[in-house]
Amino acid sequence: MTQTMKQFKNGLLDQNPTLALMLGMCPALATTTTMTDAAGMGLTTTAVLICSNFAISALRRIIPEKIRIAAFITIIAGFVTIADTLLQAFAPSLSRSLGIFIPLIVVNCIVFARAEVFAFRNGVGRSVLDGLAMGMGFLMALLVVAGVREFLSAGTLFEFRILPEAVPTLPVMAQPPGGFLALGLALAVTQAVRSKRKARSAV
Amino acid sequence: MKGDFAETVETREETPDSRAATPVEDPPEPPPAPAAKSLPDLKGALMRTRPFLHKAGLWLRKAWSAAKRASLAVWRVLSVTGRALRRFFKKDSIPNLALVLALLTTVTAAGLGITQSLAEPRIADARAEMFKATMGTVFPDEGLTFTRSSLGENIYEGRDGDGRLAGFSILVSPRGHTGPVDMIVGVDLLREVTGVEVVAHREIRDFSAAVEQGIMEALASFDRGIQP
Repeated sequence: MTQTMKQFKNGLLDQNPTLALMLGMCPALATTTTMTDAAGMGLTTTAVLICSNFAISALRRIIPEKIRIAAFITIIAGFVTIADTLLQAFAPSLSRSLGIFIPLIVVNCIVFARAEVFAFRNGVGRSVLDGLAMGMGFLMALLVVAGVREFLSAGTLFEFRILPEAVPTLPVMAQPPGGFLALGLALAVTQAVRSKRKARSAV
Repeated sequence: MKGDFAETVETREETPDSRAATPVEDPPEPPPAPAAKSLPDLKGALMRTRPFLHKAGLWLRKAWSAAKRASLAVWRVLSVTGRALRRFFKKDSIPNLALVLALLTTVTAAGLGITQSLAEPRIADARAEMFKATMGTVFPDEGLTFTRSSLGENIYEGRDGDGRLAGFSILVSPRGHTGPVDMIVGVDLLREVTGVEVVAHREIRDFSAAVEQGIMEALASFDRGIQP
């Protein structure tokens, strides 16, 4: 398996930021009431991840160790603000429904952790790929949770009606307790799959 | 080629109909089904999109090489900057820390300023569209058209079908908890407030229902005929 494919597999499965590393769970609970919101959030975070990983990796020899955190925050906040402005201009309905969680991407642990752990120590190409892989993993986790929540609470997926209107739904899934339930289930399934794979590879 | 296909389909459509005909009465004449509706002309569509795909491929290749050149240029600028900094400042010395942070914040601010100025007209347009769609809701009459008024920046005049002035729609943005709350106030010619509608707010989700409901309840507690 090439290095690139290994990185993608890492981001999507082995070290999925939300389901394996348990980072970025706040947006995973807050923006997953509908799949469109989740997709918008995941794609925006991916874009910010790619850009910030690129910038931090490009500047890694210039930024001194002592102020690296301040530098990271500046770069990440700059890209998030640009993303927020562009969303307000070109996708105003998404910007309104995601609301305050777009600016909160600045403190999303995934962006910061990848900057510190990967982008600051690796080349530009690798860092961009890492941003893309982790972003895709985050998007996948969000879509899984949102799929469960939207399907059980409204019977729709991406606002296409799947269950007929007459079927009773679970509105609690659209509220915070349902969010915790859905995320917990996703985490449990991920851990089961990972431990089984680990047991198989250990044998 | 498309003609042959159509003929095949037409024949196939006629056969089940004749089989279903009862001997006693004449079957009702089926509406002539146009051949294009039964099966899509996939091959023709693919042939038609080929030049478009070709152009898109060329554009992508040009964009990719432009992106590579741009990032190479950026990389060169950065390495020259880095080497200059190393020549004059030791990496962990205080002047270097301050200088790197200053450079970083300046470049970030410049980028933000450029993006903001580029996106400003689009954002203003989107807001204006949103307002125009809801301006009529504050008036009891239907079918009013709204135009900007010479009275002020955020005041729109509502005219009915005959062009007579029916009232004014005023955009207000008082400060809310998380940011400005955009509202439309409808005022008729007797200086009475006909209605208030919340157009947009940035309150967090748990508050949003309370915001809209609270405003409506507060307004309902006034008598009609508020003098401005």
